[in-house]
Amino acid sequence: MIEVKNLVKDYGSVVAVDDISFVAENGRISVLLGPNGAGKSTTIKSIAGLLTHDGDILIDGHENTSIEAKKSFGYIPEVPIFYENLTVEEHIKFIGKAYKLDNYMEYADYLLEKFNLSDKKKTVAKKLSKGMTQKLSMILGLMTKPTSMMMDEPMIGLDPQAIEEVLVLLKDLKESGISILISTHIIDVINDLWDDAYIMNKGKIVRVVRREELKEDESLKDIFFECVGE
Amino acid sequence: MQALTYLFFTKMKGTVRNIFSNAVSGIITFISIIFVLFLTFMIFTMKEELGETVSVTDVHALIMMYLGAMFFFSAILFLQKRTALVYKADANYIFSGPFSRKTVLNYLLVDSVKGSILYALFAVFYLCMMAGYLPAVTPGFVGIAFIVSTVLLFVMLGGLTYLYLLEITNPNAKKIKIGVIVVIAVLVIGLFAKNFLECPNDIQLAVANFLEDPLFYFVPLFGYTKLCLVGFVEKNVMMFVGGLALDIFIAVVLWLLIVNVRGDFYEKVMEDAEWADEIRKQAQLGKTKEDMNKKIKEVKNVEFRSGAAAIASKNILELRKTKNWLRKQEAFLMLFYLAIAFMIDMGYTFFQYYILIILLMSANTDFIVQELKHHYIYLIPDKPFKKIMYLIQPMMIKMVIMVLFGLTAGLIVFRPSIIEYLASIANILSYGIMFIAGSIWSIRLLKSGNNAFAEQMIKMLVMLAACIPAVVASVAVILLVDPNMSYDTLMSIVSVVSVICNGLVGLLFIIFAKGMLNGANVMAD
Repeated sequence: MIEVKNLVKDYGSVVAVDDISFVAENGRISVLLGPNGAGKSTTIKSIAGLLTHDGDILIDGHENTSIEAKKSFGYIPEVPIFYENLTVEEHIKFIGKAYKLDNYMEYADYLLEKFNLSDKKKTVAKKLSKGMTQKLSMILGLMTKPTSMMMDEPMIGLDPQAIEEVLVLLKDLKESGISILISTHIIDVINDLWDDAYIMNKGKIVRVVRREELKEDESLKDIFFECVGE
Repeated sequence: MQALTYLFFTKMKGTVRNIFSNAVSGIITFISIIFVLFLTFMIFTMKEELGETVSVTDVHALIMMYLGAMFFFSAILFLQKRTALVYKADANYIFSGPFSRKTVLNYLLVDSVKGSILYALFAVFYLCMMAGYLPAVTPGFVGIAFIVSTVLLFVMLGGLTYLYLLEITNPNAKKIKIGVIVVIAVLVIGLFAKNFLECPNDIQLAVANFLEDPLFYFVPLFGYTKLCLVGFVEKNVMMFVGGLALDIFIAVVLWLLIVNVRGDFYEKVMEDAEWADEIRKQAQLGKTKEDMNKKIKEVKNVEFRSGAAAIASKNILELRKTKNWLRKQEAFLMLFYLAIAFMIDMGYTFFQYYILIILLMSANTDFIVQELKHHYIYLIPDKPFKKIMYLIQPMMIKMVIMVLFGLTAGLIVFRPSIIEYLASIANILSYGIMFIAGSIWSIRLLKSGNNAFAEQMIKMLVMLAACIPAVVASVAVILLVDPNMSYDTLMSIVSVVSVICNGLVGLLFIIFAKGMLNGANVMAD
């Protein structure tokens, strides 16, 4: 479970995230929605411990920068960066060893198969296409079997088939009881998937929507445009 | 031309605005400039107190060393496989705008003048650092060296532009580029051979004769530059004006040749501008052009250690793949200084000072900065102190290789005692370790990344300041010990003291910097 309490992130006089609080529950898919510059990526990066911030962030009850928290969450950035001279397999071994995982290769092979990257195991990262790097980023994020997962615009760069695979995978992960937090501005892709939506605008959460509370004639898209005034 | 003049000055204004865009960057830049001026002032003041007389051989050796460094820099420029005249932004505006070919070429040349001035400033600062102790290096000499270096560098950069433009219409022009460097190198080597053959049994005398040989003045450009500088030191107006006039004449001829160049070069310049932009983008990620072009070796039996140690395993694997254990430039520089130290009979102890300067310059943080762009480094669930220690491990290995290479070459040439050699390894390694730790701490201190000059200066300041404890302790040891103690024993004690002091300072740097690996510092703001 990811708990965010009174998160504030500023860049000098610019407040990117302005006192937001929310929870991404286990077994549910939570989405941060918002237009460009709403503060979604800043929020995700703060949760991953990559940005200094004010406020409290707990992952499975641990402070987000603690070793315990790092062991239990996975993070997939919007723009993946790899060690370009290392092969796909070497990246997997690096993460497996760095996280002290047991028998990680078996699960990594399953993920490689799922993302159609099995034949690229010996390929160096700099020779992968944009879509393939996004898939590798997913594999590295998932292979640690996290109990909380954060994804920043995870579908960008993926082909339609890979998007379908990710959607199926997300459903599987949700059913296994992990908490998933996705930041996106493309509502259509996650329309059938989300459980809780936090709509952000200008650094604030302006609306919280739960799927079970949605009226029949309401759609997340309509609520979103109503909130951000576009 | 008015619009391009506006563009030229607005770009410069933008650079200055960027430097002073935040208070920290502005203050650091200001302090750095004051420090450079103070350092230069101190060098000149200290020299007056020493009141040494000018040695003719020293003057010639100094100028030849300076010209050697300039030639090395020029050779690197000329031997590059690919080059570009402008970046994409410039290319887009100047080639699509309503400007005549001559205007565009004049703009490119003015930009080259700006580049020459900046490089010349760096060169004279380097001159002060390397040879400021010599009586000949007066403020006037430095000023003249700056002017004549600017002209020389402009001829080099302009020459490169001319040959680049020529190459578009005539691929054979590539041979001229290599030919220029080869001709100059052959002339200098020939001159050395002549002096060696004249006194084959006394290499030191042959070197001294070579350094003072008046035939060198006939070597195009470099010879004229030496003529000007020697003329200034010897107060010989004819030599001084003659050398400078010859350099300026070549620059003017080159300028006229370039603005009258024929052929359609826009497409090629645009294409290379895109490539240059990519190189710049990669450089901001901490990669050099050499890194990007380097062939990757396939490595078998890849093993990673567990936890934070996997970081070191990964970095060593990358080094094995790129075979990047010792950079060619650093090896060449060490051999170059070794040759200088040998030629002017400076001895092993003084050669160590040069090795230290190379270490100071090469303790760059590109590798670490590149590493810190990867989020994995922050997310690995291990202690920040362990992560940082494993992160710098490959840098340490590279530094040890570099020091061993340099000092072993020094051992062969100068033949110090084994005790002195071992003591120097320990001593220099301790400074090297401290430089690495200091450079890492300076990343944490700066982190903005929008002011490369200030970053470089602050790194230097941090590292120089960090040397103080070891230097003070070493001087104290030298003053306090029994004056009859043997040189080897004294050097051994000094190296132990340096290792302790530098080790402690280095450890402090690491402790202060470890928070960086928590994630919320560098990558962040």
